[in-house]
Amino acid sequence: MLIFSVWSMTFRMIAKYPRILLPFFIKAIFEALALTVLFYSPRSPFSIVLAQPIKSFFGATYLHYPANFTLLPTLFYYGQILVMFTMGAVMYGMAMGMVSQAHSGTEDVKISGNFNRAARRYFALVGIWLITFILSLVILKLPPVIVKKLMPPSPSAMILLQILSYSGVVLVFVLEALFIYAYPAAIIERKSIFGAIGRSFSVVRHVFLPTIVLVFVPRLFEFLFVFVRQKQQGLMNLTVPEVTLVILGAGIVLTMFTDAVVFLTTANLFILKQETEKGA
Amino acid sequence: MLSKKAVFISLVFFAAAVLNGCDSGTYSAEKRFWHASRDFNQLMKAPDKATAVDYQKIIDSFREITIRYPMWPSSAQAQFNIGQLYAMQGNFSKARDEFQLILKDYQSNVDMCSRGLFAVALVYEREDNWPKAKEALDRIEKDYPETGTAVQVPLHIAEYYKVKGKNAEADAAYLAALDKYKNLIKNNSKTYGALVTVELVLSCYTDQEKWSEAVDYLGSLAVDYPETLLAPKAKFIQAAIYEQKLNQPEKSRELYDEIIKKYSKTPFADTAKQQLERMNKAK
Repeated sequence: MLIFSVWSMTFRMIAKYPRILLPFFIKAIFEALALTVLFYSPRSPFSIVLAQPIKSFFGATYLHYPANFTLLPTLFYYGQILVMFTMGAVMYGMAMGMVSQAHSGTEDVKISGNFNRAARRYFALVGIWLITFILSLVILKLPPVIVKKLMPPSPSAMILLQILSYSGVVLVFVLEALFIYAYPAAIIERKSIFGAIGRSFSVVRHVFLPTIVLVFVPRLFEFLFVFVRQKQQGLMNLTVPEVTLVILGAGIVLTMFTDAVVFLTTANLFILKQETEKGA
Repeated sequence: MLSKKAVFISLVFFAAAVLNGCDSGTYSAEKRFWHASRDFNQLMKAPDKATAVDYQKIIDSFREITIRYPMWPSSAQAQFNIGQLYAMQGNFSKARDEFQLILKDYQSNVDMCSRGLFAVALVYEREDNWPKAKEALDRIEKDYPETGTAVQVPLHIAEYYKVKGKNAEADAAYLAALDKYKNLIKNNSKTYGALVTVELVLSCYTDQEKWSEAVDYLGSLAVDYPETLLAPKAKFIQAAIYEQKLNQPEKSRELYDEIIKKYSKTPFADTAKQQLERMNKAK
């Protein structure tokens, strides 16, 4: 029941203050800009800066049509990391501040005020994101490396790698659930990186199941989208190489909505928990 | 409000102009060529089903590339494909004109020039105009002697005579071709070209079914160039001839065995191993 009331509260909040979606929209805009720049990387003027690194790290082939579309998802992945590092984490913080203001009901939800508030907590926010990111990298990359080292390439090894890849994604969602309250803790309670993470763990301990559901349900759409991304090469061959751009663009829009739902619902639950603690 | 909109629209236009206007054209050329080639390959799979409109559409796509990006390296290939499309429709004079354009517009691209001229020769052959075809073939050897196409020419001439039943001319042409190829191998024994030329020598012997001569020549290659890849390749072909044409599987086994032991670090060793396993299974 708690889950439904949190969802309902969040959607009512979005309807009343649509501007709380702005941080996620800004992040999506930056990701779209990164995708555009990377898409144009083989051409002038972007090639002046990007052609040489692409040539050195991946090979000159990827500067030509249609091979550039094969590399685009990889480049975009790095682009997303850059966006998260520079803007994304601050935008999450900004959203937390906005939810807090919307929740109080007494003050207006400010854009620049919350941006400044989040920007001042830049290092804490980026630190939380970086720790989560590194741990998720370990979860996703380490088991396949071990399997590849220990098992010879065979159909069973391939199946195991596939299972590990899917279960890795699920584990990353669990990891996100564990760290999700660190963002509101860093902004609303002004906690340091490790203080915020500790606070997140303590909140999750009390509302573990609701948190898991609040994170998993929206992320399920992203999980399903992974299958589409896996078929990207096949779709490219079946249609036109430009379909990659459509898939990545759709991914940006999808992530914008899922991020909004995950972060706003959990921020609301965090504030509810805070109120309960104060009441007790 | 209006000025804000104007600024926004101007920004979009400016960005579009920067993104498209500064492009050197190579990427656009690649994109157009890829799409035209995809349609071309699709048509090649079922040329009977294609209509004149389908042909024209692809010709126009390739033509646009040659006009828009004349300096782009694959532009000559686009021109070549136009010629091919006309030839496929049976419009031989137009096809020849299109192939000839390669010689005029892409003079520095000797490889494509030689291919264009070879295609001209093939078109003349289709029209049963051998003197003109021979003229084009001779011109390839004269004007573009260093190209891969020029190397193919002597064998092609010999094969033409053979198909037409002109046995005396064919024998002479095969002899001339063999002479040329053997010299090429001798002068470039350490190159990849020599390995490819061995295949052409083999084609000459195969066409004439001169298996013993082939085995002898291949044997001499292995003796003369033991340190090059020519040796294992020659032995490998020898083994295949012994097994399939001369009915001497034991000699074939010996040769495969020798390749595995003596040339274990070459790619021929693995293939020889597979051949031996296949022969042992069939026993």
